[in-house]
Amino acid sequence: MTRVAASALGALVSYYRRLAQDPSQSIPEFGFSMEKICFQVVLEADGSLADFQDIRDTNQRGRKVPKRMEVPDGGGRSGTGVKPFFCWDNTGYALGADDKGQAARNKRKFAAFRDQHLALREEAGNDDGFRALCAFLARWDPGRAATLPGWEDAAGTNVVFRLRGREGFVHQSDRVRQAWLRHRSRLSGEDTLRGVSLMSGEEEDLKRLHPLVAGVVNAQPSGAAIVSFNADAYRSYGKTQSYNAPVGVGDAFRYTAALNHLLADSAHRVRIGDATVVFWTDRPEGTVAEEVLRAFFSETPSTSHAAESGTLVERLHDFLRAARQGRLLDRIGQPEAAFYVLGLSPNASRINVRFWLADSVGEFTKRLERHIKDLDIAPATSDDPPPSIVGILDETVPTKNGRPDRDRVSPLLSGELTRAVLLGLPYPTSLLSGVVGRIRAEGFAQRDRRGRNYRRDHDWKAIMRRRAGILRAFLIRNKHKEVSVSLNKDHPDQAYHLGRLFAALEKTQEDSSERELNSTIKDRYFGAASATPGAVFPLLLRLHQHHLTKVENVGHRVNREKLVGEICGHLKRFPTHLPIDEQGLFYVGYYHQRQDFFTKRTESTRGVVNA
Amino acid sequence: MSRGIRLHVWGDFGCFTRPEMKVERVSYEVITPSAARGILEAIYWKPEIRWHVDRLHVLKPIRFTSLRRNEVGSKLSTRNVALAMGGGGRALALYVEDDRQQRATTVLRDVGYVIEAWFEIVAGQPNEAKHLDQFARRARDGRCFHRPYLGCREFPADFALLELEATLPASELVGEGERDLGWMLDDIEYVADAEGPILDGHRGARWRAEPRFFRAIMVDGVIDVARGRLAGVRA
Repeated sequence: MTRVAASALGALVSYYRRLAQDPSQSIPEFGFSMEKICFQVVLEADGSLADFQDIRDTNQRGRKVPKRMEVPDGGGRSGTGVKPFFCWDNTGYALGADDKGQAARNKRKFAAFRDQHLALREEAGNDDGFRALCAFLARWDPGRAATLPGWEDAAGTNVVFRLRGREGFVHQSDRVRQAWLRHRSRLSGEDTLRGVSLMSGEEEDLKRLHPLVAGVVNAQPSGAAIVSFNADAYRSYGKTQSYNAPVGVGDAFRYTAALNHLLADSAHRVRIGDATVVFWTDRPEGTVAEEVLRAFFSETPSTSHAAESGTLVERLHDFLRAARQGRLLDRIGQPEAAFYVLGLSPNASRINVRFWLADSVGEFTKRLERHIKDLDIAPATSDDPPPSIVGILDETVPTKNGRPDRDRVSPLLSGELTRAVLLGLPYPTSLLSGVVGRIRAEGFAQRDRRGRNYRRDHDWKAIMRRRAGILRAFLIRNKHKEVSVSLNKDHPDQAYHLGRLFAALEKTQEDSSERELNSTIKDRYFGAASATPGAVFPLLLRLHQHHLTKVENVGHRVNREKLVGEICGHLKRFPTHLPIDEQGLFYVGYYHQRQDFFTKRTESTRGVVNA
Repeated sequence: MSRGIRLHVWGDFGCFTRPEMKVERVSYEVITPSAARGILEAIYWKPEIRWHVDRLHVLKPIRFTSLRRNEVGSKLSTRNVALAMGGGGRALALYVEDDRQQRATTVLRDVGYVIEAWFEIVAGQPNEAKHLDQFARRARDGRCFHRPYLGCREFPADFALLELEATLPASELVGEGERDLGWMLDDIEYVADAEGPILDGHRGARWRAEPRFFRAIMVDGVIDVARGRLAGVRA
């Protein structure tokens, strides 16, 4: 049986513990944080300067990027106070000079940095590296900073210290780390309220202000908090700030460190609507599941984009094809592993948990398979992968600059859609109204004046196919209608045949004129035909008679008449209105009939193909 | 137990807020013993009795939905209220337009529970039968001091008494096995504290509120609260 954690914070704490034991993962320990470091100061044992080196990495494009490493956590700076960090800092504090040129302030900063380290000389003094550092700081003159090699690049960046001939940095030695942890607990004297933690049930020191979480799109850039009580109305029982939700100091660090780690890693994070979604499993081998689910959330780049992601894209398309055939679980393996999805959306300086889904990989996979199968629609030969969740949301908004305007996606819709797909629930109704609205406004899929693509991300045929697929999935799941993958001539619902009829009438009009038509009945009557068929179809049938006489090929004329006759055989009378779900069915019928017109006919493909 | 009762409650929405996500509310997966006690006290309570919740039966599958609501960010101060009551001070007002805070809520949908509880007599005559009878009569008739609610007042609860011989309504969670819901809020305990922030106006005593947690383990839809408390409530 899968042990799936129930609470988001609890699952994050377990994830932290798993990462902390994994040597290949770089997650900071309590009292430390990951920071970007650019340069290192190499010292001799007596404290004189040996070298000053650039330790940045070079990325694929040849640019220098700072190295992320675990350093003693200073807790962030705000305001104009002077607050030095321990064994690392920017050059303004560490060397007394930077690129901003405020000499007096830099003098104060350097003095504070030096004094802090000298004050701890007793405690950590038996460490060679720390002793050298203290000696260096005692003798260092900030005026010499400009003479250091590479100073133009280094000014203002973060530096660390290192003893020449030693492997690690000064702050990495055990004795220095211990001294730091002791010093830190003395500094944070205000967090000494004790109480029962709601995460462990044990009595612990409680954290007054939880560490910030950075990386949620559109939240405060310096970070926001999930557990935060920053206005009167949120406080209860006379408790202030985070004492309203008692969490121990250690657990508060662990869950925020885990969350920051996930948000920094693009393999574990996607953006759906306004929410930043992170996802992870509880097994180290579960990364295949993570990859696959990422593909379902967000559009995979098409192969025409980056060449190096070609193989990754191939794998993901492969997974999506396997899903269509119901074989996804074999590819993923590990069905009992727990899988967690946490959707966070910003609200000024707070973070709102938009959804929290926790279940086994097997369950999620089954539901995804069902979703993918429902989205499938003719033509069956199409190689296009089915739309991801972001792709589905794209079909509910207007276009801006050739791409769907993602800022206009309803945040509630994105959260509910993700929940519906991953939990197997009915789709939100606003999905249907959104897609139907787009179809009406654009005549199924918009084309520019010359009939070419209006959107830059997909061609108009692919867009038509996606929208028809979404309608099919909605009708199957929410309205329990049987909608086949391709044309079904014996569909029980009238609305379906009305759509087919419209497609047939439109085709006749196109066939009747040798020249390109400026506007067909589709441009004028598409929306009205689906919403108020009773008003529109009698007129369209009359027009059809005229169009029919102008079709030259007698064979075509006869076949078309037969087709229209067959469709009308399913209709009783034209209803005055169609409710929105039947409008969806109308559009599916229209799409199926259009597809059928453009499908190559051989003797063996004649007949009905039912999914 | 002769002082034990079983009450069936259900409703369209329920929000048993997690303390750590109280601002942007996220509900626990099931009803908390504290909320269950609140429902019982809405139906019948006297200062002589104290309700204790023993077991919770979850009848419907756990489903969440999310909404956003416009609320306010501050509370009226009790000092101003006291002044106004005494006839002085400024006019009491909270200008909603100046104080808007939009808060998101993740609530449970379509919930149904059976609460198994008993009451303890803390004062007065030890006639359990009288209290039990009164509760039963009120629950049967649908009488209450105020409408019972599922976590927050805006989510009203319907209730029905389960008689002694009646069978429990079937739970849709039978066959799911064991599910660990982690540490859940049990209730709030008020501890006498001379410097505490909570003032008992009538008697002048001061209190401090301490949350108590219990280990919630749901087996086939049944949560044994009493055992969860023993399993490790740290006080």
